[in-house]
Amino acid sequence: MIERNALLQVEELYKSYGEKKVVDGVGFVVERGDIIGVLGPNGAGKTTTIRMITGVEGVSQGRIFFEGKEQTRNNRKMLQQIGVVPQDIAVYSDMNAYDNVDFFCSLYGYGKKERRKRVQEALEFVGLWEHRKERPDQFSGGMKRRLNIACSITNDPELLIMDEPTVGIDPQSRNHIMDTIRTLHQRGTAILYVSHYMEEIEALCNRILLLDHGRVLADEGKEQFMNKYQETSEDSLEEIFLRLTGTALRDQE
Amino acid sequence: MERFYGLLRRNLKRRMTDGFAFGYNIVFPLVLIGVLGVLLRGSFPEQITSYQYYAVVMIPFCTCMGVVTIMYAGKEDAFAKTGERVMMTPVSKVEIVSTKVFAGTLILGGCACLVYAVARGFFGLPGEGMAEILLFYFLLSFAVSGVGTFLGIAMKNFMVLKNVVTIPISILGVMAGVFFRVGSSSLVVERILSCSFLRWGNKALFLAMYDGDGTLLRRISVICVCIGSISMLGAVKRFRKEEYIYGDLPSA
Repeated sequence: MIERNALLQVEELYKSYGEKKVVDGVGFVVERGDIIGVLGPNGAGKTTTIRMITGVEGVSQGRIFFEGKEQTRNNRKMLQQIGVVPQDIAVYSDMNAYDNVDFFCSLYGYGKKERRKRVQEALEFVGLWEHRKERPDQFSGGMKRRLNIACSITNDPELLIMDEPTVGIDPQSRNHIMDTIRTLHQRGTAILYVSHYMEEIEALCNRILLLDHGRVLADEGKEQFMNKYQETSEDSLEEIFLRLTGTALRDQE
Repeated sequence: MERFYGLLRRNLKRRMTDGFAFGYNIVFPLVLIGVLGVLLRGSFPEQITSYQYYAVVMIPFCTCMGVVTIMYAGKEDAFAKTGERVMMTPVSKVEIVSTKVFAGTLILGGCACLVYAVARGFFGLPGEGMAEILLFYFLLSFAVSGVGTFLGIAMKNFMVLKNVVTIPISILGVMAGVFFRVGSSSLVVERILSCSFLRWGNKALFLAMYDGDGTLLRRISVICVCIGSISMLGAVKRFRKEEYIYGDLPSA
């Protein structure tokens, strides 16, 4: 059944590679104004789910709705309205920061004048306007991550999917990125935030989606989640996470 | 159209700053024309010099060798890890494939025209049928770019393919007299030699330049358009997102 206020609705999504089930019946809803923290150990199916939503991976079974309309793998209209910050830093090292953002902005079909405005906004938003003429290979890890975000927000997305956007950066850059996400959220962008950093999820999100072995273990508002799974009032999100997903090592994703 | 222009600009810029494209399609043919021209000076009939001969045959050969550059271009988004981000924007596979083909056409064709211009200036190539000849260089580049994009984007085992693809081109080049003139009184050998499309291309260029007869060149130009178009359609048809994003890279 389609949720009336859903921006994105994922229904019973399955993905298998041969015999191996990677995503096993994942379903959830993203509403406008949501900022959902997606948690899960390596191999939980987080990145594969994102790739299926964006059409990069085909769906073995299941349905995806965006603004109430069922999506196919090549739905350009939906892609026009969402932004994705991929896990890897996906920018061209032979182009400066401005040209990188301008290039990805052009892929949303904006003309030159409109692009100039949007590129400036995006670079100022992530604090890189002063460095617009520098190439990413001259950037620190944090600056590259911020450029990675700038390339994903030039279309002013209604839904921003962020796949571990703060991996391997210093606390200052992380703090800046967190502020950026909060501002985007205040502007009305719904955010699906994938991370292994529990403190980020606790600080940012109003809902928690916990995946493991390709299945949804929990999908609750943050308060309800904590109340439901806390054994003592001092249990942290990380302790709950380990209790629900186990302590065995996961070496694959 | 902005998506198309954005991708085309990116591809053109990438090709223009690609040292391999210019090395293999400008410097390499000019050096070969000079070296082979010196070595075989005097071994040609009076109406043509060795430099002119090698200028005529070397340009199409080097354009064909440009297929390797174009194959790499098909994989560069996988190398840069930007393929996934590109696929997460509303671009179509037609836009991705066609911009790679057109950028390759403009760069390979431009290089061929530049070598032709240098050869005309320095080695006195005749100016007969120049417009048709320049158009032929671009259409041959279109065919090469179509095939290269197809091999680079649509085929698996990229690393193996790019190593072996130059072998048949070199053999066809030898059959077409690119390094030394070949010919035989044997009908069988002549038929085998005429299997090389480069031989037909060279013959057409000589006829257009020295006899003012562009009929064969026009026919071959049409064939080039067909090859380029079919390869481009094939690349669109066989385009796989996974292959474009992850590819068959050396580290894989």
